[in-house]
This record gives sequence, structure tokens and C-alpha cells, in this order.
Amino acid sequence: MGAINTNKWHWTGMLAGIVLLAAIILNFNLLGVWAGPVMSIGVSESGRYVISAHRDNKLVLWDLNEKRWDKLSDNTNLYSAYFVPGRNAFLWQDTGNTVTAQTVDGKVLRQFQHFPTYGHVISSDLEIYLSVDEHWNVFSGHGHKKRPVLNDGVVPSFIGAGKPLNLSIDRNNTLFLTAGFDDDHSAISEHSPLNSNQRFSKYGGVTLWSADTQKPVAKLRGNSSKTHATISPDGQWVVSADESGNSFAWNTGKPEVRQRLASYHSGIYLDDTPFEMGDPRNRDKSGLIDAPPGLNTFTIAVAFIHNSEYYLRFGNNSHFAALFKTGSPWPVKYFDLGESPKLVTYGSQYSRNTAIATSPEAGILAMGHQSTGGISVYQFDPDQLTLERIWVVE
Amino acid sequence: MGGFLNRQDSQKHYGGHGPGPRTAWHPNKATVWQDTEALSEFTASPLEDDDVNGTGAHSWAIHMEYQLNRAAGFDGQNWMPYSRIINISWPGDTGSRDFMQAELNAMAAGRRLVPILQQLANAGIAVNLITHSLGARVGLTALNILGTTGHHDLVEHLFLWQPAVADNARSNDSNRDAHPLGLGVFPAAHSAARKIVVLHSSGDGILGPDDDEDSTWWQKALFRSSPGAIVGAAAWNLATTDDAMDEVLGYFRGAYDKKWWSFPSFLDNGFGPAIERLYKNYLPLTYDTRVTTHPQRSLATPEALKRTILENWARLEQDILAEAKALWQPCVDCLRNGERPLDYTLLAPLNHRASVSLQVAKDYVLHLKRLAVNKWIPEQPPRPALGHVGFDEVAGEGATAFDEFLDDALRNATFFPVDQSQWLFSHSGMRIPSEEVFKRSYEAALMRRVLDEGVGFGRY
Repeated sequence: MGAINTNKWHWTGMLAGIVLLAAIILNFNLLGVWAGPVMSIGVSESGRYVISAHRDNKLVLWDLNEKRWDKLSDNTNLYSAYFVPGRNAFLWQDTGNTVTAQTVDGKVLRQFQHFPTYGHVISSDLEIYLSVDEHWNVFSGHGHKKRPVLNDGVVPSFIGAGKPLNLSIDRNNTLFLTAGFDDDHSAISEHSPLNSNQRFSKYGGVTLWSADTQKPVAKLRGNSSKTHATISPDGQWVVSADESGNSFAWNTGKPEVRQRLASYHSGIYLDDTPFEMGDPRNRDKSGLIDAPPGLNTFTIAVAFIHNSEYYLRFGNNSHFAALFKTGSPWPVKYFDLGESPKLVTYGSQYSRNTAIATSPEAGILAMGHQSTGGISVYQFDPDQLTLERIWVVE
Repeated sequence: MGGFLNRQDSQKHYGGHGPGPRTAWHPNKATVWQDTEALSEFTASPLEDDDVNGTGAHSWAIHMEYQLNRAAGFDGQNWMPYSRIINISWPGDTGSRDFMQAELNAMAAGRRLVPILQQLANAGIAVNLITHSLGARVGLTALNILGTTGHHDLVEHLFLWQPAVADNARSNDSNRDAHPLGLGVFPAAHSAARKIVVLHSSGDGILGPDDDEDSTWWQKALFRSSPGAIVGAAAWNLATTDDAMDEVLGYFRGAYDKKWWSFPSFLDNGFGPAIERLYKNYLPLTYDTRVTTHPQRSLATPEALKRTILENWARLEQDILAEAKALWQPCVDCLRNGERPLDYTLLAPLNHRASVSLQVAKDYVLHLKRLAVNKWIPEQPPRPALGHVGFDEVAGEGATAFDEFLDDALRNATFFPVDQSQWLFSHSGMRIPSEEVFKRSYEAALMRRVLDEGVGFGRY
């Protein structure tokens, strides 16, 4: 009898242990992702999928419809997660430097060896491939078709600037943009982008390039220090912002005309007034809207959220985003992205501005978190001008 | 101090610059950086950096020069095009146990820097000024004086590396000065430099509270075990620190935040020691209740003490105004002629001004009396350090004390902030930099700007 009781307790204990273990595993899967913080992220044009590369080299595919995620690799280049425009396919590179374009179902569309990339983009037909290396050199193509587009020095660099040279291309594959660290005012004609003999690059700032000729079209100047910029899906607009709090927009048809965007409280700084610095007449505040506390113009990233019409600006150490409409310098609305979990916007993480991505077609925004491996996903409504957090994984 | 280690047969290994290695220590002090590792090949035991590159300010100077040259492209071989920088050092550890005394020393040094900058500019030499910590006060004092006297854009770039000055120090409005004696703001400094770059880091444990999430376990352990001993070291190290204790000090919300205290900080006696040292010939200036409550311990009765205090104030005021009157015209003349301006003694807290008018001196006395009434304790805390918070508190949307001038300067790119929080974790981490700090701070933030402007560092 005693032996039966002992066995009974033995089995009960084992069962309880299994249940506890299952609960722990389930808890991890339900409440959080077992991965390092997001380093680069991409959103499918459809808005259904998100691909993310994490600090611990994991590659995770997120399905927003099913609210589930799958870890696809443990050996991913941190800056390689990118969604192919117009396809349910994404681009990534493993730590062995193999770049793969594959569908969300796992079908490999293209695969090739390349240098370790610090950001890359590809066209929907997979014909145009642009990539950046650690020294902020830009190349087009791969393998024997690889050609330098920008190769003019080793400073700034990824390590030197504390951020990647951000790369974006329009949906028509006519123009692409690079943005890194700006304070250079020299003209394109003064310095070739292909001059590897010099030490200090002249193309660290926001530069517009022709995807066809792969030559610089315009240096879009005015930003200071660490700068992020992106091009609109239709290629009509470039918007930029930086760690000094400056933000600009250009119509790519008239790149010589720079539009300065308003600061949220102090308005638009007027460049050519005769007044001394600090004079209130240097500011136009006429179009400002009420601004909540917690905004910051010192900017980590900008991203288009609704086609080429609306874009968001993300402040450093802030959980607010400012909504702007192309063509207007005034903020349209401010969105509280949520205080918890802390977003990647906290902690001056300019090296992780690639952990913020959108699908302008679907109005989806995906962001990494400051110190955990999860993501926050938001849905923009262009009619109501709302941005709602629809999914968060710790 | 360091010396050359010279051996005749070591040229191929020798990675430093200077005379070709021979056989023994050269009696002269080394004034250029030498490669300790390479030289160690010829010694019985490995050499320490201190052995060949000196200590203290000497070590700072030659390391900085070497790193700047390296960032400019120096390959360790041909150093001729990358010659020299001029180092400015000043007494930062003269026994002062309070921050204000260190500030007064820095301002005196800045005043003496003025004619040197003028001399270089007059010789057609483009000047880039790099300061660290309290060196910002040296540089800003010099530029404030030069700006006041109409020397616009005399300096190409002013780099403020983790500056231990108020975050609004470069405001053009002295009314925004939180310092009770008016030495926190340098209203004309901006006009004497074409560009001003601020390298700041929230990881700087001296200038502000450290980021707890980024702290290492041993720092926390050390803090828990012996906080009292660390506080004692803070004031001493404040102006001169260069070691790993930087971060630890940050657990007291940064030494800079307490700069209006005298250390040890538990005394919390404000500016008392500094003022009393400055005006030692005019004491007592305050009515000490401890003395009058127990008159038997004092030679003075309360009435007699009060009378003495009033007499001292009258004498001090008279002498301060006399100093202002006496130095007004000579200071103006000196600066006009590019000569070294005379130092203020009783008005030392205003040494960052080109000259002190009678009215400014009267205002100063008024502020001094007000401070005395409050037992030398300032009524408001200091502004956060520029080297810690950058412009977050004075410009942009998060500003708690928005300053239009500073915001404008950021908008028109006169001022450049460079947030180094992600890689610079200690107050003096840049002296012998990690490769990351070297690339991000020396190359990208400093030398690229200097060289891109066509100044040609070292090629004078």
C-alpha cells in the first residue's frame, strides 16, 4: 500500500513538473519573444508581415494576421532585414555573408555571396540591388556585377558616426537616397563620389542618387550631425531630420529648394532674416498646433506612413511621433506611441534607427523596443488621422 | 615624466616618432608620444605607458596630440606633416576642495589664453580649439572676452568635449545665468568662434547621473560597499580626473550636480569655503549663530561681531569697486592692443568678462551680499552640465528652460551637438581612446571637421 502511495505521489509530482515546464514555455511564446533587441526591421507592402534581425543574430518573421512569429535563423547579419517591395518576400544575409531573397513561405528567389552589409535594398523585380558597407561605401549589384557607387573615404563610417548610412529607394526604382552624418557643404562638382584615396568622405550627408546612372543628383544640405532621411514611395519627396533637431523636406523635382519643417513649439526657423540669433522674429509659429509634453525634435528617424502623403518623425528619448504631410512644413498631429514597453527611440540609439520601418501602402508601422526583443505594431488611419497600436510583443 | 628610450638598432620596430632609438634613456623629457609596446622589445621588462609617455598633464598632452594626428591620417612613420598642437594646462588641483575654486582657476587661465589666440590669428594661423571638461570654461572665457572686444570668428572650431559648464553657458543672455555670482553664462563667446561642436554623453558619471541600465556590476558593488570614501574623492578629481572612478562618482548623481557644494558633500556648505578663501582678508562676512549662541567660545560679543561684519562688508565693497575702477581702462587698452588683460582679484568670479564696469561691480556686490544672507547657499540648483545633457534642456521640444538663442544656433548650424552616449562611458575615456571612441570622436567628430574645412591640421 505504501509503495502504491509513493508511486502515486511520484507520478503526480512529475505531471505537475511537466505542466509547470509547459506553462513556462507557453508563457515565453505567448508573452515574449526569446531574442535580442531588434536591429533592423522591414514591413511587407501588404502590411501583413514583418521581418526583423536581432542583436543576437536571430531572424524573426512576424505574421500580423495570425499574431504569431517564427524564428528563421540564428545567424543573421544585424542590418540585413528588409522587405522586398510589392512581394511577400524579404531579404536577409547570414553571418556567412550569403544574401537571400526568399518568400514568407520559404521559397528562395535569389541567393548570392556578398560583403557584410550595413543596410541594403532591392527592387521588386530583384534586378536592382544596392548595399552599404561598414565604411559607408555604397555598391550596386553583387558578384561580378558589383560596382562602387560611393567610395570616397573611410570617415565617417558605421563605427565613426555611430549609425549606419541609411539607404532608401523609391518604389519606381528611379531614385535612391543615402543619409548619414551631415555638415558638409561642398558641391557635387567639387568632389567625385569615387575617390578612395581621400580619407574624409564628402557624401556623408543626405544625397539623392539616380538609380539609372548611379550618380549623385543632389546633395540635400542643411542637417547637422547624425541624420536620417528617406524618400517617398513615389520618389517625389525626400524628408530628413537629425540629432540637432533640424528637419527638412525637398521635392525631388526641385532639389535646390529646401523646405524647413517646424519645430513643435518654436515653429519654423526663418533662414534669412536680418535679426540676431535669439530674436523671436526668426520664428514663424503661425501654423503650430497644441503640442503635448514629451515631444523631442532631436530626431532618430523619419518614415512615410501613408503612401507619399503622410510621414512620421520620431524623437530621441521620446515615445511620441509627429505626423507631417508632404508639402506642408507644419506638424499635423502628434501620436503617443506608448510608454511601455520602452521603444527603440529611447537611449540615443542612432545605430538602431533601422529598427523602425513602415509600409506606407498599408499604413503599418513596426518598431523595435529599447532593450527587449519584441516589437510594437501600429495601424495608421488616413481618414481619421489616428495611429493605433494593434500588436505588441514584449 | 617621460623620456626617450633610444636604441640604434631598433628603427624597424620602432613605432613612435622622435629621434631614432639609440641605447639609453634620453635625459630630456619626451614631448611626443612613443609606442610602449615597440620600445618594450629592448627592455628587460615591459615598459608601462607612464614610463615613456609621462604622467598627469604631460601624459594628457602627448596622448591627445598623437591621437589627433592619427585621426588626421598619421601612419606612425612620417610625422613631419602632422607636427604639433599647443596644449594649455592650468592648475586644477591646487588644493582646492570646491568646484568654484576650480572654476576661478579655469577662468584665470582663459583670460591668459586671449593674447595667445590673438597672436596666432594675427599670424594668419587658423585656430581650432579643443577643450575637455573644465577646459570648456577656459576656452569659453577666452572666447567671451574676444567676442566682447569684437573679434568675430577668430577661432575656426571650438570643440567642447564633455564640457563641465552649464547647458546654457553659451546663451547670449546673461539673465539666464543660474549662478548667483554670474559666472555661468558666456554671452559673447559664440561670436568669436565660427562653429562650436559639443560632444556630450549621458554616460559621463562625473557630469551627471549615470545610466543605470548601462552600468557594470562591479560599479554597483563598489558603490554599495563604500560610498563615503568615493564622495571624498569627487571634488579633488573633478577638474583633473582621468581614471576609472569616473563612473563610480556618477552614483551620486554626478559630481557636477553638486558643484555648488563643497566637499565632503555632507557639509553642504555652498560657496562658503571658496568665498572665504577669496575674501580671506575681509572675514568674517557672515553672522555665525554658533558663535553668538555661545559667546564664551568667542572673543566677540554678538554686537561687536555684527559691527565687525558691517565694517568688513564696507571695506570689501569699497575695494571691489576700486578694483573695477582701476582695471577698467587698462583692461580695455590691453585687449585693444592684443596684450594680456590684467587679472581681477577681488572680482575673480568675473574674470570671464573682458572688463568689469562700475555698475557690474555694484551688482556683483549686491549678489554677494544676497548670497551671504543665505549663508552662501545658492537659492537654486545649478543648470545641468552641457557635457551630460547636451541641449536637451535648453533647446528643442523637451526643453525645460528653452533658450531661443541656443535653439536658433542649432537651427542655423552654428552649434553642433554630437551625442556620444552610446560609446563614451566615462568622463575621461577619450584620453587614451578605445578604437570605437577614436573613430567616433577623434576622426568623425573632430578631425573630419577640422580637415574638411581646409584648415590642414599640422600643416602650418
